[in-house]
Amino acid sequence: MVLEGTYRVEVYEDTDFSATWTDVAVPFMAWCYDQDSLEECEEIDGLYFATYSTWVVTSPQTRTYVTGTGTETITIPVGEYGIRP
Amino acid sequence: MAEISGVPTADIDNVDGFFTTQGGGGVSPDSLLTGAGTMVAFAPSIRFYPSINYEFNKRCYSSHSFTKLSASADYQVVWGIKSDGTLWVCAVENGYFSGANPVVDQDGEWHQYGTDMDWTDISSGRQCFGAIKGGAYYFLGRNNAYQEGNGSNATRINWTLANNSLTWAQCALGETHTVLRTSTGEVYTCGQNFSYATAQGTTSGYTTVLTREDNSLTSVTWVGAGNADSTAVIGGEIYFTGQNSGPHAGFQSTSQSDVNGFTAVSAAITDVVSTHHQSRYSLIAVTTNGSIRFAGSANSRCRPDNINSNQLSATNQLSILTGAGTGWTSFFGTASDSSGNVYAGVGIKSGSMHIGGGISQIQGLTNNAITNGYWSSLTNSGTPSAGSIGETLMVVSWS
Repeated sequence: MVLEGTYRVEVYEDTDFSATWTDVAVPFMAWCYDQDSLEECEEIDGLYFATYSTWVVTSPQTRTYVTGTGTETITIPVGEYGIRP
Repeated sequence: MAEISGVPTADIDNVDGFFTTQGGGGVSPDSLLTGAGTMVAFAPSIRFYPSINYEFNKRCYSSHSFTKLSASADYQVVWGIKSDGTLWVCAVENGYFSGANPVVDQDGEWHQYGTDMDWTDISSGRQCFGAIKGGAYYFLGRNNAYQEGNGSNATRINWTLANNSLTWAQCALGETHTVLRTSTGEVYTCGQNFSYATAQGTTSGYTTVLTREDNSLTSVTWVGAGNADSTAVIGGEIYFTGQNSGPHAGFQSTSQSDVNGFTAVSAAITDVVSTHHQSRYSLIAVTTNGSIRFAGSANSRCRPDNINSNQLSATNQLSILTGAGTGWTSFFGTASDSSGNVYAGVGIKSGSMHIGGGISQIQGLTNNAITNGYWSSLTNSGTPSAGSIGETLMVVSWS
């Protein structure tokens, strides 16, 4: 079973909303904010907050992804992946 | 020996973006096409960007014939594959998507891309294209959702080899995701995981590298991709994943919940050859005897039988449109805007080209003979061979 965890983090005028981040345990995925700009973020007392979701793996997940020469199959253990560094 | 970019001119097709042949075909835009050739109708403006002034109907008739066509949803660009496996492009100026436009001449003429003769499939996303060439997967355009599937999200303004580690047979690009079928019938996906469109068991983030969908389907004969949903066909049966807003997946249910992973929609329906994601709210399937199955919301002339009744119930999703008749041998897809709300389509029925939907494009293709957008046949003495539609252009071809 897989679920999503939702996080809310403070962002700033210079935050790059197009940037993504990765998780070494899941080499075929990347994560990003749910919002595309500061204007889309929640504002509380002059502070801005963006949200993002992680991948919560509650039973091991096996995936096969392509490489430059073939495919690689990995099993992703139980855990939460995609937490922003 | 003469060289361009370090490549001998004798091998010029290895220079990215170099176009060796061009020609509009010489057919007057003032006379309807009869026999072999292609017509492109560019809408007068992009729906949500009306300040851009496009030249209506520019060079819409040519003597070039194609077996596959793929019109961009947003761009005023269409790519075509001829029966000899060569790749061609026709585009008009499109200044809005600066930086993500493919590097092609924007003069409304058809231009050959390189000289390779092993292009076999092509599909368009909203602002990008995918193609199969010699069993490899190539990508072009905006890649912001990792639709290229090789770990990068860099825009590609020329066709770029994305993957050749497996032998690919078909590509289907959705709004922000990609579905690929291998020659041995497995399905790999990449792009935005929104609503489980990529069938990776999550709605978070992106699948950046082509990854086999999480149910490890086999013997898949067709894949389709839509706004945030995907389909696969196995043994004539539809498997669906993703957003089911219609509901339009075809389950015997009125649930509109997202579908987590490719799931067989109905064991009673085993006659499907191909699927076509018409919008966020509807799905079309062509059957083995050339009937049209339809599920979802039916507004705006999306049904080829010109009836606007929804098929949303637990019993009539994917029911055959009897009024559309049989004999549909090809359906070249449909188009919607980014909200999923605009419908139109192109198909071949009993040797005749049929178009319906986008009014301005249909007016262009018929020299204003059809002004209501209803599904109609286009008279031509040639043999219908291909068609496609984007949000602001429609293209049809005869051989």
